[in-house]
Amino acid sequence: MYRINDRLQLDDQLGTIRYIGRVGSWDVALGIEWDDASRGKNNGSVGGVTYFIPKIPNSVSFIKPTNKKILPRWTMEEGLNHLYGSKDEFEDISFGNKHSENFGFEKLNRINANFSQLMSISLDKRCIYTSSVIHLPKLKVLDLSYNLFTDISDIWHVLDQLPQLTELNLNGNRFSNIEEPVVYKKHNLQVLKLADTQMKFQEVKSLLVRFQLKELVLAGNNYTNEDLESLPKLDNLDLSYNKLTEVPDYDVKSMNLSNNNISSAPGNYIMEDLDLRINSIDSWTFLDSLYENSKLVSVRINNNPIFDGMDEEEITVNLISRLNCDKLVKINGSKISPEEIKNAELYFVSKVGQGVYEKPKKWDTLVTKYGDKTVSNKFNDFYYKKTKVRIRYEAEIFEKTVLSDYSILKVKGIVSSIINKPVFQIMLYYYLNNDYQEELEDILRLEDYNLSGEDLYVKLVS
Amino acid sequence: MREVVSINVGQAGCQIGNACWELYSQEHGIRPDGFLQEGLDKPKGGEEGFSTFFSETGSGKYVPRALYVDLEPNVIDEVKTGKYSELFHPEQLISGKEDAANNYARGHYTIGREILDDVTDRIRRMTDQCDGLQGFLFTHSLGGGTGSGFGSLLLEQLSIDYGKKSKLEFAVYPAPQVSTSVVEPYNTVLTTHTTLEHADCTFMVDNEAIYDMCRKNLDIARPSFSSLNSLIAQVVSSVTASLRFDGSLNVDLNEFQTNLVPYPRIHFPLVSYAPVFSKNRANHESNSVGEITASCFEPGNQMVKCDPRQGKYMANCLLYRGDVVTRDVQNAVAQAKSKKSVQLVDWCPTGFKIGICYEPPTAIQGSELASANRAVCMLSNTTAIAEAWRRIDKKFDLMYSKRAFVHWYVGEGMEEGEFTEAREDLAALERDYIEVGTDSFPEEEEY
Amino acid sequence: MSDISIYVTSDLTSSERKVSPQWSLKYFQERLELITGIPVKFQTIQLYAISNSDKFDVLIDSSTPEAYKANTDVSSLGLKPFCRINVEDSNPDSDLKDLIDSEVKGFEMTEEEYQKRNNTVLKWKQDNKLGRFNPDAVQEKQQRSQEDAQAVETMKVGDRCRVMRIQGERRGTIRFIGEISQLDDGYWVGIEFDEPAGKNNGSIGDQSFFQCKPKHGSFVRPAKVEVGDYPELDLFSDDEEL
Repeated sequence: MYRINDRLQLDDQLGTIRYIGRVGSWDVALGIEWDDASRGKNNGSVGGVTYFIPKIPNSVSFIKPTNKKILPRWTMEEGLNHLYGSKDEFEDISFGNKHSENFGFEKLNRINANFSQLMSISLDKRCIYTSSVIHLPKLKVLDLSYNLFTDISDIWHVLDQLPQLTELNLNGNRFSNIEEPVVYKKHNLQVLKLADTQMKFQEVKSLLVRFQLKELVLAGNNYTNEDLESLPKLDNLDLSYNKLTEVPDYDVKSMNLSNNNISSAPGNYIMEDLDLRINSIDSWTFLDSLYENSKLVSVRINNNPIFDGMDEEEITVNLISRLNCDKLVKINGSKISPEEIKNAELYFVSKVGQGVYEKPKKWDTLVTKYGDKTVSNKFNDFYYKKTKVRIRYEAEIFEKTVLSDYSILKVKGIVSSIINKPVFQIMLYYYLNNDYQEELEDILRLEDYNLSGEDLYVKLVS
Repeated sequence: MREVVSINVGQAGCQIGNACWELYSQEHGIRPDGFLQEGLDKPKGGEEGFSTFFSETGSGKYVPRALYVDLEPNVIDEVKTGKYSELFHPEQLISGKEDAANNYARGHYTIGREILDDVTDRIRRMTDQCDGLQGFLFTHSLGGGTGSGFGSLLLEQLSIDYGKKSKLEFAVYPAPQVSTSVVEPYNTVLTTHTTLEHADCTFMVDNEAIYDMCRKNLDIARPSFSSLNSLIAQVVSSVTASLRFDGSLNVDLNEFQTNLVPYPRIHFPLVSYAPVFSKNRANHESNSVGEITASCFEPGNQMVKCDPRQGKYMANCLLYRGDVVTRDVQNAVAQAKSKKSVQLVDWCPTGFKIGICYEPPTAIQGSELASANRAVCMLSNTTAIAEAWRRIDKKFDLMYSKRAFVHWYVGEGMEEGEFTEAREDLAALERDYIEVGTDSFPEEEEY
Repeated sequence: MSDISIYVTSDLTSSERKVSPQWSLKYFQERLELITGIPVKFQTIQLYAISNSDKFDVLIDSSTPEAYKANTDVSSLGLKPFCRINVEDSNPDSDLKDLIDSEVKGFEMTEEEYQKRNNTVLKWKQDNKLGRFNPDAVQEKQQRSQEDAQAVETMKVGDRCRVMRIQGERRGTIRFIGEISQLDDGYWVGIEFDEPAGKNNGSIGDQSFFQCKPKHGSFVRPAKVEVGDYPELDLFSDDEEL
């Protein structure tokens, strides 16, 4: 009943049958290459005999076809009847000594059993391996992810019966037979999800001929930049969880590239929405290369090495000041207003003036807008510095962060609240060298003393 | 008809109200100007359900059964000039000139009293149009001056005017770490004391929990008020879905109370919601009925920070929405309850409910939350939520032991005795929760 | 000019607020007092153009109020939307400092005071004979502890046993019988299950009652335990996998 390349589900795990036949003392064994390689026990060899070699090392184990944990397979019709068509009454569930009261299930069953009216169906992970005749004239959304389909012609058969379908999810199926259809029938499908199918890019392209898609999901397929080929114009393209190292140049409005190894962006981009979370971006020149994209509306780029050790504000300031802000309204999921952009750019210009940041590609634009703050250093004068002081009182030591322009009287106030003595009893001094003490005077400021890390000592006077 | 009137009080209340009405309108196919979306001949969700929250004018325009009240004009002005300004009648938007300055006493006594008659008049005009008023849905914060002071004043007044009509609250509870104002603990304790006997059921939302959800689940680096509020709206919507959509649950307002509240004072169910993930993650996260059900038992999906594993459940409602099948729900619930150590208060006269509403959730435009074809909202009355009261009581004690800022309240004509009275009441509430948790005889005891 | 949103922070508070540029400085500072609790005369106000940065302008220094006389209204402060105003308390004797993390003895309600109150869960339980006030429940509890005591007579450490629950049968070996102060009164049986179907490794909290692999140990009531010839189940005997 099983054939090579058939798929099966054992417990919660999906795998592909790569070998059928005798193994050791077993007359019939199935050699399974598991989708989750860590589920495997060997590399296709048992007792010194190699039966086959898997694509991912050590992703194999052998089971008997009679193994009770193998779940039964269904046709699509069976799966549908089993779930949506079932007249299952909601069985009583008890919590301790209490029984649940259940509402809406009768109506739900009634609605679900009326296939001719259903608009959305989820048959994810239901061990469906082949298509069948179905009648779902209004169906718009169909989820067939993580099933056991292997032959793409099953999918054509499904689609031919669902003229209204706009969204099809095939994530997690592994097709071994991708024959191009004899007749290309056009279909109105708009969203096609092919994540974790490990399909070759040419195979994907051969499917696309039938559709004019708005959204295509190709996540988790181990693509490198070399694998990529041209794609038709799309609204959304999801290439996350692949092995890309460069931002690809596609005519799409929104591109999800999170969880790749991207560190460069050599193209001329026009996308409005770009997701680059969790990549390998480690230099500001990357942002410079995105600067030409004046259509950018929203960008996500957090969790890249270049931002290590920066807080969110600093990240935002840098993104605003290096990216093209003509249309930009969202950074890392948060809306930004024109005022915030202006604030951040001004701040950034001053930081460049202080030599904190290098001038970005956007510098000329910034200078035109705000003038070159690197010439005068006046901006700095507005700022006061925080400083840490160590205060010793008898055997105790306190550390306090204060402003360097605090008056000594004020510092005494702080000391007084710590050691619980009135301000007028407190005298502060420090050691100029090992034996010369200098007293700090109330009316002067901390910064007047030019302290560089010396401890302050407290003496009580009456 | 069984109408519900929504009342949004104070800055937080009005802002959350905005996000909710935006979402309700989208869910029922109503445009921002109050007319039906193109292609619809009637609002979505069935006549009966829809009319609990909206009224129809002769001209084919629909108007929310809602009132906005704030003691200062800022937020109300935003509603009046915002995208949904035409949805409301000016009479529904009430603002004063002088705000409550974070002071419960100003909202409750001085400033609040001045506006009270006007507000109750307008509420009366709204309820007069109802055939069979079910009750009121309040949205306010517990920590702000208007939300706490005027909110509780109005709840008291509604108790007098409308007797036993249900009054449910969505209340923004102060975040555990940072206060928005120095007197937030006072306001929270005072308003909780005043409303304890007037509100029938209070769903609390703590901004810090929502903030963390925005950061962790939605990947929003710097969540703003509007990110928080659109998530809160999604949760409020799934709680009220059973009221707004026909016949799905047969729940009306006082059913929440009967199902969830064993004893009137113990009326603070914990709300959890799933799925919460961002659009870009939607392709990689499993949204199966099993997954979303399990998520509801995770602290990361709760609206208030507390640990239900340390508490005992008195009641539990699981409200599913969208594309689900009976068998999946059955399996998911059975699995969730066996996996997690769900400890029960078995002598309580409250129970467990599982309900389905066929309408799927709708994503707010521009929100980071991915649209999902199904969702679940869990309302559970657990003793773990007493943690929230212990936290705020402790902060109250810290200040009150020094009588800090008490003069601000006395200056507005409040008697100092109200502080101790309120604090005693909350101490008793903490006790009440302990008492609820004691002497259970669980069937399946295992440690 | 229209109102702008700014963040207001102090040692004790953090919030988003709207301010009006037309406000007088005096009014603005009074508002800040109501938010932060810091009296106007002790307010040193710092402006952080970027809300999270460590650089700021001092807008008003409470120690030199004359220097800021020129600033008469909020518009003169140069606040930008979403900037941050931090208010520092310059009063060395301020009470506010004590409101951070200090421990005070909180309000405590004694058992007697609670019992005296009306409208409590305790009263309700008493009036409606719920929980421990339910004679049936008390009786039931006594009956259960009797059953447990009887069951204990039939078992000893080392016996094979099984425990049934909804998900099926679990088999194992008895490792402990006795009372456990950390748990409710009465007898408990510590079992080492054959499968990782338990809750612990034989310990409750820090105290170990017997030792086994994690998730193999559990403590259950004696009446739930069936002692007998229950050898280890070989669940996978016909489901071998190579």
